[in-house]
Amino acid sequence: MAQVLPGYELFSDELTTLISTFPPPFIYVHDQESLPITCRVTDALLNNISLGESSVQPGAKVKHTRVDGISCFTTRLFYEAVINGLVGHQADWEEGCSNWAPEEDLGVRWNENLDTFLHGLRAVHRHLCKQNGISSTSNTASDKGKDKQSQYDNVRLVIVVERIERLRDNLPELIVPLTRLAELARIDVSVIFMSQVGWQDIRPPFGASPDPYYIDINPPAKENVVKYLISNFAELSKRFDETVNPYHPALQSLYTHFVTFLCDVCFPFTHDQQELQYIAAARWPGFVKPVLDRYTSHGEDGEAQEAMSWAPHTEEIRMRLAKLFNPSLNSALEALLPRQTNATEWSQTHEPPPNILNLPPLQANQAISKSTADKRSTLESGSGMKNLPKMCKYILLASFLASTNPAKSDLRMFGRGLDEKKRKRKFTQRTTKANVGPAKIPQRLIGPSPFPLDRMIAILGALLEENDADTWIGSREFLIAGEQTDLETMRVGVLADVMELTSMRLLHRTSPADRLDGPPMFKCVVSYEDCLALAKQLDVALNDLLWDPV
Amino acid sequence: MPPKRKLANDTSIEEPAPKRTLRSSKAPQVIEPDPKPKRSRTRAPANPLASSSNPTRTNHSNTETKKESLEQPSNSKSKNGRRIRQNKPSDESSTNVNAENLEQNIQPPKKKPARQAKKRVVTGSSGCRGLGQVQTDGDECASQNAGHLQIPTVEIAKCLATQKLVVLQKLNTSALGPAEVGVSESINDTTSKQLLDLLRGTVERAEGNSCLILGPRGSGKSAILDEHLNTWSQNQVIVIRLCGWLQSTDRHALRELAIQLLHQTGTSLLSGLQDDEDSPQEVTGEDPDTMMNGVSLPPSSQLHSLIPVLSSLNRPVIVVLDGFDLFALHPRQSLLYCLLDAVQNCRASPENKGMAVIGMSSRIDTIQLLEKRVKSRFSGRTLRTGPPTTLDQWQTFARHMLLPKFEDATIPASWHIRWTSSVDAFLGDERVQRTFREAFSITRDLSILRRTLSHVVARLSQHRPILDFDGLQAAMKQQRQRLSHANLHSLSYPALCLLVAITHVESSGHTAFNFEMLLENFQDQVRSSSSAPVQVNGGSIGMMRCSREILMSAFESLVAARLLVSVNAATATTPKVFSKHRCVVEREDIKKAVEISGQSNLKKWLTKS
Repeated sequence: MAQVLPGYELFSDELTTLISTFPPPFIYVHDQESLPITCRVTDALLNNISLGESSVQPGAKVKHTRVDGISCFTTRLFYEAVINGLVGHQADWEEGCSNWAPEEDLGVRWNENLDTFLHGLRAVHRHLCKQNGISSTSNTASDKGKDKQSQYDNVRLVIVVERIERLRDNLPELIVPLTRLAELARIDVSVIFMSQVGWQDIRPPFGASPDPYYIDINPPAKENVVKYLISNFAELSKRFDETVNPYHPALQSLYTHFVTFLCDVCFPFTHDQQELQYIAAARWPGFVKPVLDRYTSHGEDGEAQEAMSWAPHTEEIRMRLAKLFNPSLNSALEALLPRQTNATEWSQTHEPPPNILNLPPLQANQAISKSTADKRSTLESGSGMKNLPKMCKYILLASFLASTNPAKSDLRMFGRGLDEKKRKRKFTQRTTKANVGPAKIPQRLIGPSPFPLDRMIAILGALLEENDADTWIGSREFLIAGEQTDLETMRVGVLADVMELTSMRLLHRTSPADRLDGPPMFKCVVSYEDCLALAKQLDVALNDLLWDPV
Repeated sequence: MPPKRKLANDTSIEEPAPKRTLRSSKAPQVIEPDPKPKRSRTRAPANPLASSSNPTRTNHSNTETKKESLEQPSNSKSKNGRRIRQNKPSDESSTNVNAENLEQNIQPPKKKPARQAKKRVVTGSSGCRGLGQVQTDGDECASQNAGHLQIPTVEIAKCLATQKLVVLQKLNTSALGPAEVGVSESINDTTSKQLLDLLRGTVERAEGNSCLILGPRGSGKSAILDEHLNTWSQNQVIVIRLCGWLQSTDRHALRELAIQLLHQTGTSLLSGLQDDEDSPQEVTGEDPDTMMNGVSLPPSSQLHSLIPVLSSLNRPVIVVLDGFDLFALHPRQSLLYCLLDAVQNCRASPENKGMAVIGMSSRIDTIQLLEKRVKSRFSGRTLRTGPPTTLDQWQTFARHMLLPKFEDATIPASWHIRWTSSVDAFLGDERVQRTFREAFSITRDLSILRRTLSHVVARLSQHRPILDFDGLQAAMKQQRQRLSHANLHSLSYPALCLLVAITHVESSGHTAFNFEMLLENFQDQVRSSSSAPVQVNGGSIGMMRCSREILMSAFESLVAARLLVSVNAATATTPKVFSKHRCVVEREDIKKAVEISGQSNLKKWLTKS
């Protein structure tokens, strides 16, 4: 029996007992938080059962397969995955990627529909019974089953379907037959659904499926996660051949401390062991680099030195390392959990300068932050919007305003009459309205609303007139105020810019491209934060122009 | 299961070895009343103990514990908390005596469990734990009485594994025969008889019969039918099974019918017909999947003519239609019409062998679904099945499942006795009975009982080889009384924050929300909570900050777990953060989850109006 992952002891005991004795025909495993790990555990467990003769029931064989609701998005793919998986058949390119077929009746396709799938399943069962040396008493006679015992032929099929919620979305017609597979196929088969969604969300209507045998996986506890991460160390250290590597067995105790602290910081934010492992993998090489540096500087002298420098790390070194690197765990979490960058890149940017342990503590700290900042500045080229031409920036700003402000407010926000005061907003109007119905949500939170192109051009004109007109040269020939702005906004270039921004998906065209009547409608999909940055570059006070300022 | 209890049980298994050797030499007369527990019924769990209660005087603790277990049922039946509490001191003393006894046996480390037991009795406020203690003592005692109970730990593991195997086999594969419930006049019995008569009529007297078996899920429709169908071998009858869930159209159904016929008769029945048609071979040549063992399936246009042929085969045909109501929902009900028409036209003549159509359904108004022309061809015979109607039947069923008869030479007889007595004690436990009563009053579906018992049995381990109430309770919780969102409290901090934000957004009148709204809500809260200039241990008491991206990933994980459901289909034009969602979780559940998670900041935020 392989080592059971911490936290899965009960589950593996229960499932092993069930599968190796007499499993319920339909099991539902619900795991809200760590489905991939559970799937792995289940796989290992079923492998174990199918490899070893179960001691309880001599002669019984278990054959299992796991199919994924994501990859099986058509019924054919599903049928093929199940049947090929059960037989262990691999499609071969040389043979035309043919599916498995039983010997006796060639040319029968079992991936047509459910009926043929069931025939295929029975054929698989017969085939496996034959293969495992047990005379299949069910060749024809006991298809109808004289008695229960002869009907089950010592080969048990276990079909694990992962992410059943996807299957339900894509192939809802499969759910009911799968839940009743044992009674429909009349062979010894057990179906296990695994999902992070509860059965109550999958259950077909009208009670068409029998209720499953429920197994709930408890959410991962922190100490189990820590144990799991530490237990991975041994496996990781096997992958390295060099004598100096971050996963040298001698570093295990240091790793234990590291992981414990990592979990202290990151566990509240994610319970996913794989994510935590990912963060650990990004931070650990930088964390031990000072230690490794010290070792290599010692190490050239030979074996005698090696023993000395791999000696258990003193408390002092550990504390120093923790002090140096633990603050960076938070930034690792924030960058890596949403995958804003990848672990390799992150660990490269945050790699400490060499021989940092030789520096006094304060300097070491500064050296680290300096090197990180340097690397980051070289890496960061800025977001794509920084390099847009000025007109495009104004267009984006204007469309953001058009998307966010109500159309009625435009005149008040941008209208320029003779009276300068009119520009100011009247706050008196707000209080008059009675508070009926749900509280109003600012448009900024609801999302952008579509606007006609004309409106955006008008706002663009106002913006340019306010902020940019003075910088233009050759404005002498225009006599009327705003005449040049009008001209500028009517240029083809502006329209071309709009189209370009649309193709960059910074604007969305909501009206169909082939509509002729009315102005085309757009929507600005630039976020408020990005717009604020743009406005800053253009020296426009964005918040003053918003109807619902933040 | 708290580890404390496990420890105690541990000792209850491990300790007997030395003790029992002593005892068995001293008091061999205790062995006599052995077989009694086997005969004792569910109602009298303490019987075996009572029978063996003649004091042997050889061992103090033995008699003490016996008295305990004797008192137990009366106590629990009286439901008198006071009496139970009265009972405690003696309980304690008994464990003390036990402990002393153990010490006499030169096992100094065993003092610990005794102390633990004492503690347990004192802390058990409702007397429940005390009872549990009494019960395990009783079990041990009963098993001690059961003879030379020198089952070593290795043996126990093996015995338990075998016992589990047998019980699980019984639970998961055996059908519920009417006899097993132990009641003679159940509805399933009459149904079974009538069905057998009907099938006999078809098979032996070549009648054309049709009937409908109606009953709720898990009430034994298929079991009864299968049992009767198994009385004839395949050479005597042709059984064709169709299922409404599989064959969603009549065309599929006909095709499947043809394939099954082909399998069972070995010939394509329409060969005579095919000769008249133009080149049927060509059709099969094009369509390789119609080829089967060299015999081809008739082309689909001719499949309809198969049904009239059914009654003229050389063997009687029984067509089983599972999900009868679904076939009735097919347009024009043509398959049902053809089948029932064939049944009606089935005349008893030497060349005709009967035909039967048996439908199964759990939908009560199935007959009303039939069109007039179909209904008039249907015999209208409806046989009903039902789950057990009394609690006794339920419990007898449970007992039956837990005590299967099996022969295994490697299992010592003492184990059987021990298992039997433990099952008796289990089923006799007042709390177990109450749980059963509760479950029975809500559902009579036996499959729930099967699942629950499977769960209890599958979770038995070497450290806890005996059925007990705690196990049953856990099983019931998991298999029957399932909470829809039980593990909500273990969500990560950002996810919980989002849920709390959702309650606030919802209470402001918006049932549909998007990520931006939640984020705004969260950020407001963080700002206001950290504005207080109070510090504890050098840290602010405000809420932990989360970056926008982390919250977004939490949001997506909630969507993936279907706790949040998108209101309108995702479009390319709406950015992710603005697409509207709805929360599936009830406000109460969120409240509970936040309370369990014990994060006071979140609690404060939740209660903030």
